[in-house]
Amino acid sequence: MITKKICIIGDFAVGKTSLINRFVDNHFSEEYLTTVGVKLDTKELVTSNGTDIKLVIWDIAGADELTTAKRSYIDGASGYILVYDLSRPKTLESAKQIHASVVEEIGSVPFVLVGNKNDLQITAPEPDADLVDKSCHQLKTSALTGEGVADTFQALAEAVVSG
Amino acid sequence: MKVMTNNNPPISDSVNDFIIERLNIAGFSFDNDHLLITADGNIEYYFPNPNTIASDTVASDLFPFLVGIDPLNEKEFPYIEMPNGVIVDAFIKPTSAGYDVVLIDMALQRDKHQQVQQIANVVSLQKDEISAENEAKSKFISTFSHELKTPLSSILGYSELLNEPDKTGINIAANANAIHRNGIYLLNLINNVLEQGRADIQQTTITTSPVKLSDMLDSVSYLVKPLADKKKINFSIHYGCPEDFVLVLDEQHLCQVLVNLITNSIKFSQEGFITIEVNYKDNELQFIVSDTGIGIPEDELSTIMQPFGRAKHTRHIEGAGIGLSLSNTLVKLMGGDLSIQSKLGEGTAVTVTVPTTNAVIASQLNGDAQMSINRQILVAEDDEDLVPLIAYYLEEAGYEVITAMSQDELKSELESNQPAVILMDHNFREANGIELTKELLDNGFSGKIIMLTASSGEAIIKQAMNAGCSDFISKPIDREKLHKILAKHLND
Ligand SMILES: Nc1nc2c(ncn2[C@@H]2O[C@H](COP(=O)(O)OP(=O)(O)O)[C@@H](O)[C@H]2O)c(=O)[nH]1
Ligand SMILES: [Mg+2]
Repeated sequence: MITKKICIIGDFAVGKTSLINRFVDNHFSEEYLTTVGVKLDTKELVTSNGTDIKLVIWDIAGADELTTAKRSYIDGASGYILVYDLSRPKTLESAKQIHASVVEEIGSVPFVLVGNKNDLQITAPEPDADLVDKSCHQLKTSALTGEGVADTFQALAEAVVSG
Repeated sequence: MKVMTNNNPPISDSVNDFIIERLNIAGFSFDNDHLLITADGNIEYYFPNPNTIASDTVASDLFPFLVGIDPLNEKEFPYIEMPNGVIVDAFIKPTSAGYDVVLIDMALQRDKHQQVQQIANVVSLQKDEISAENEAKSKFISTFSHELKTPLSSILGYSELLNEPDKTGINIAANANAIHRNGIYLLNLINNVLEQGRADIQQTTITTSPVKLSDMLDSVSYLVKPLADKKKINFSIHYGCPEDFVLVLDEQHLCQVLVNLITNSIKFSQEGFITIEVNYKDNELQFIVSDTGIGIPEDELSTIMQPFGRAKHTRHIEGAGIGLSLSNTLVKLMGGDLSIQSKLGEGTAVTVTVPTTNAVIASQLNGDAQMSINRQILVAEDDEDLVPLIAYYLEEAGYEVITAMSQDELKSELESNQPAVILMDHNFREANGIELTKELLDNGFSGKIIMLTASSGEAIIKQAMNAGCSDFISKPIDREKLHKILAKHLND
């Protein structure tokens, strides 16, 4: 069993906490409760090549840009999930900026680009080809229905193991 | 318990312990192989089960936040919520033997901070929502103004033509028709907005009355057919039930719904067909408005019915205005249902069902018996312009009309006639129509009295009904309404 740290980052209220709750506890709540600081969870997975991997998932608050304190949160991450909200085009802009600060902080590690709240059936603007190219995987998810959630974590685990 | 401090504690051990208890501080020392050497402080607070902290436990098993980081660099992680729910500030400090991890309980502080941040985030989300709403509204206003201009320019154009009567070849009747039609169309647009406003504050009232199906659909067709003709779209109505069914319906709102649906169909069609299918079964009236237009993408079907105020994504309302969402609201208010089936590039079918009662076939109603019915109407009204207009409306519907412009005239007419109905002006010259009604009924008038009032105030209507009036009609007098109310009172 290997243990890896991954982070989930993005603007506030894009559904980071909800995605983790869906993945770890298979549970969803309509209610919005701001995350302050960081919340840790763990979950074990098996990759397609048979590697057992334990993910330590850091749910990082996304209210502001990455402050100095928050920069320390990302340290040592083997990969991350970059989330934006399909119903708020603004959050795609934030995702780009957050991505830039993360690269500045820890260099380039694998990340999955996720457009969440796909259940709202909204045709959102597509992310830049540049950002998509850098990601190891891009997909649309819904923490509400569970669509794409397990695939997101699986894709990141695969990339972390093979990277 | 003793906590690791420097060699010269400035306070006594008991005070020190007290502080540690209150602050819930705990310290853990690890060697260079990441194995636990000692733990001190209020450890039970963090690990209620002490078995989890046997010596030589691996650091990252105790503290998942250590995974991936190099503990030989000093580090601080504020506000970490651990998988077991405890909330700490974690400090990592290198030592000569390895490193220490110090935890301080931050549950209270984090919760306070969380409350403040929550408010800030929610406010920010609401601000975004409001600006999206405003954007949708201003887009709506520009679309709406544009839509108003089309019928208005027709009205202006045709009325100008009417002003040039010298020119030969001008068909006055057709021009007047076009003006009238565009006027009604304009009214429908404005009604949509007013109705949406009312629906938003839940003030729409559903008023039902007996309506002949074909009459209602003829007036819809009168309005929309020329629009379809202009785009060379074939517009037709198919009845799956007798055309002259009389049903109890909210005609005004139902017409509004149909006009909205059909004008949408016209807007989104370049050619082809638009049909209305009318069916009646089990006290339910069904309309299917189908077109061969551009259709609606599947992923937009669920959002297309949101009015501009609530639409998260404004582009749906562009062109479609509020017609569809309002129609949906109105149909729901009537206790009915509206659903859309659509295929991109093939067309759209909107099905509306509304509950109704008392289907009667009109032709059976107006049988021979009708011939013997007293069809004389006395119009007691002092407005010189209004009297001939009302008389015209009545005569065209086959009523016999007598008029009285004063109280004296009224009395003398009643000496020689027995009208079936008196249309009584509420302010009849020097007299009060309500008092006059009472007087006539007391003196044995056996017909019905219908009040004409300029106000639709409830108090006046109540007074009129209490005085013995059978009904009321508000001014300006709507021709169809007049016919309908008279038909109702002369048939029962
Ligand atoms: N419809 C819908 N709502 C979601 C989804 N994911 C999260 N939400 C809602 O969005 C809000 C913010 O979610 P949260 O997970 O707290 O966002 P975070 O700040 O990124 O952690 C909450 O009200 C959630 O219920 C989703 O996939 N679909
Ligand atoms: Mg969160």
